Amino acid sequence: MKTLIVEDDFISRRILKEILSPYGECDIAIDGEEAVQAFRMALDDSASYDLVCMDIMMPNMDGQEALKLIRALEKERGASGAREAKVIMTTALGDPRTVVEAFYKGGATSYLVKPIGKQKLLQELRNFELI
Amino acid sequence: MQHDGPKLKVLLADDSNVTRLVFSSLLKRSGHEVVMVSNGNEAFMKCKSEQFNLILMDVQMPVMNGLSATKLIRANEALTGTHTPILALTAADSKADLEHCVQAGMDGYLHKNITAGELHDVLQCYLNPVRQKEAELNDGFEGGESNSSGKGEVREGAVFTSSAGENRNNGPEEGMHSLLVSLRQAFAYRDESLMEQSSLKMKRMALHMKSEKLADATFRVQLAFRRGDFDTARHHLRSVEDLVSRTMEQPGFELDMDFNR
Repeated sequence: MKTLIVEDDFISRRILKEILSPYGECDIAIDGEEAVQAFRMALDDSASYDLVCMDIMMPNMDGQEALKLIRALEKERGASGAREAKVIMTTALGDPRTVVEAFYKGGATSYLVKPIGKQKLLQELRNFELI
Repeated sequence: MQHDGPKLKVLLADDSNVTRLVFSSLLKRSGHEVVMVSNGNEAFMKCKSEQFNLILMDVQMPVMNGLSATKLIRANEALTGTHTPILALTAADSKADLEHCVQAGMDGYLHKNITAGELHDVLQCYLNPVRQKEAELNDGFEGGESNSSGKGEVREGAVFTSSAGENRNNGPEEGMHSLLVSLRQAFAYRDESLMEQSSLKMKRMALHMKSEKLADATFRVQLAFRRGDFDTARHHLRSVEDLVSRTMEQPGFELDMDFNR
């Protein structure tokens, strides 16, 4: 499983990396812009990410925007549908509006409210049959 | 003009006998020529009368400290159109200290307790294939045998000669080059924050030049570095070097230098 962690917060990055590293390669992007660039480069290399864990609130480009661009890239490269990456949006707020937008407009696969618990995250990955 | 091997003429400015002894023996053992002075004022005077390939400068010295000396040297270089890399010799390594060094015009820093192996790695930054590419572009100095395709860690043959920079302006290649040096140093030291800083600058510069390839390659170094995958990072660092030297070969290569300041 190849993962892209997108987080502007150092601690959250560390936690996610620690949880996910045992399951495969984990890349880290610190904002939405980097996330889109990393995602594009992985597609260029035909080694796309299986999982993206992305914070919604970030500087430069937020998670919503990045998610839309990532889905657009996949579509452009013919990687939609079953081959598209699973995207878990993480958010500190249980703000239903942003979550709904991420789901229905942005194409998120799932969302988790922070703090991210290890078991909760791993359960999601099992649901996606990633692990 | 020919030079005979990867030797540097190094100016070592430090008020401590011990530090001078340690570094001069390390440098001389690798075959480099060392000139020693014990304060900033002497360093500045020496620089006016002789050309060096590299300056190692203590920050805290009597009479004149390393930062002031660096500023004077840089001011003088602005008149002569040269640029000698200056690395701070420092025992402290706080971000603020480093920032002062950079603001004064230094190119990087060395810990005083550096090991011989680490020093060797850093000096490799100055025995850099990019220099050769510049050498081909500038009449002022010549490079040696290119070994940039080699896989080895040690790059032989490239060196700034004593006339380095005589005919060159302080152009964008200098900015690119010093960024490349920072990247290599960040890599050599496994210095995360320097890596983040210098790759961010490099990416910006690359995008400004519309070289998406260079921006991507730099980001690949960054990603691999963050993963802790240093072999891959090293591999991509080489691509960055290649792209930088290719960019410098392009005619009409121009850039707003604000990006490097």
